[in-house]
Amino acid sequence: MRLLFTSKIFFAILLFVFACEDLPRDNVLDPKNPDSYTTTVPLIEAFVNLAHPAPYNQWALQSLNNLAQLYDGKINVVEYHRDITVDSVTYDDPYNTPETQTLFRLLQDRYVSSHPEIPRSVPDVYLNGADERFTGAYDVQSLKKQIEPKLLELLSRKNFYRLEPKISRSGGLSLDVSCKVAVLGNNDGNNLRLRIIFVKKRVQENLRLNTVVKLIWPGLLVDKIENGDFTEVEAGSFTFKESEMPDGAVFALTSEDESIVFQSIYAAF
Amino acid sequence: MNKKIEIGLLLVLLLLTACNGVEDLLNPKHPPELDERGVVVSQDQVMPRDTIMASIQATNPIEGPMQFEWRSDGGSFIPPADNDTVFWIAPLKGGLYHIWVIVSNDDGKKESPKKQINVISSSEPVVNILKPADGSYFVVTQQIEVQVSAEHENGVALVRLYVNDKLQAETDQQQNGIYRFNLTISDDMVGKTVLKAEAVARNQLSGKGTDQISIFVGGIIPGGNEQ
Repeated sequence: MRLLFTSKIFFAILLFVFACEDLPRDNVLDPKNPDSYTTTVPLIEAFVNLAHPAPYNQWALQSLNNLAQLYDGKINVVEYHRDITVDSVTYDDPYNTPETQTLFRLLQDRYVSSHPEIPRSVPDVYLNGADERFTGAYDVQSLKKQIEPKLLELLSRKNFYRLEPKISRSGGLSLDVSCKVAVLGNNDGNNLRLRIIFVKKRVQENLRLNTVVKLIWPGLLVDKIENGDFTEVEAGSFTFKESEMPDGAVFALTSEDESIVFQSIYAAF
Repeated sequence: MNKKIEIGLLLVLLLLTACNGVEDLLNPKHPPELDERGVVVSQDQVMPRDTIMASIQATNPIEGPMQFEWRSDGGSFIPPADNDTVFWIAPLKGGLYHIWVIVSNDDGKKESPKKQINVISSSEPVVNILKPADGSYFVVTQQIEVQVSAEHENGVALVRLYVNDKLQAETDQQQNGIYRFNLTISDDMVGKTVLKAEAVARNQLSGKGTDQISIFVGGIIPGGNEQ
């Protein structure tokens, strides 16, 4: 009787082991599945100024509002609000600080260097890094008309990077941030950076804003990821003023030189 | 023996050639002499199907008659067209045509220089804006080159560029039929902007040829926190 019971247990264990080994790797999000992939979540980054009386920036933001509404959850839109000086008059955008202002300018300069035919200006919009540049606007729809075809193309593309952010509050106004990065489709992950963009949602007149309140730039270096594996990037702890407490963060996986964005994801707090 | 015959034949041949040269020297050829003005026409700019009179003043240095053989690269001569004065009917199609004459006598012939006749074309110049492409997008402060091709049978006097119906520039300078304009995109072009090119023919009679395209101009505020 005891022998029968022991052999039943042994058989059950054997069955379990075999069952585990035979688990099909058909989950498209499983890094160990050589055919795994995910969809691209494009990142739209806009350099704008809302203090200048010309309506171009408002037009651009209205276009981006339309796109964000139309592709809700499928794209990420963030705004870097810049101060600008024209003919010795400074137009001070309220949604930046001296610290962010410098980083925004450096990031824009990096992007402009890939498209030097038009110098630094606002509104200046980039799709997946410097991959595509859209400068200026001539009405509330113009930017949408220009971006949408490129956006649809990106949305239809397979993507081989998967991001899993983890954010926890370590105090009232502090956040602990990390993100898992997996490479899908039998690929390795090399020379990557993780940019973290903390955004605060605001409303100004008829515009819904996704203002960047903190930018981790240059992005954090991502360790080499072996085929079928993942890595976890520890970003650390960030403390915010109450008025600047972000609503969420966009995590963007970029090339090492930060010029191209491969994948992005938004995590709300 | 054979060698002697060969040498003999050679000598005879040499003698014959020498004789011809000598005859030329003794009796030089005297083809007709043409007035330095060449072909004189009653008008050198005419409408299609107009008739003009053309004449050549030729003198014959030898006794005997002269023959006049009139030629043209278009249109037709009213018969008889074998005298020093003829009538030429301009063709229907405008453009640049030429009339000339070959005058001959018993001693030889001489061809006059070609006289150019401009037959006015009533058609409009053909104009095409080659650059930028219709629907192109630019932003304020950008500098662009507008390239316009313009052609007309009578030539093109000048090409004008209008931006939103406002004259921007005009030029008569062209290279291989392409007229170039440098345009700086300005704030007043923001939105849909119409570029129109207008070509004027070199005859003051035909209409103006035009072509137009639309470009889109985005407004920008250049610069930003210079540091």
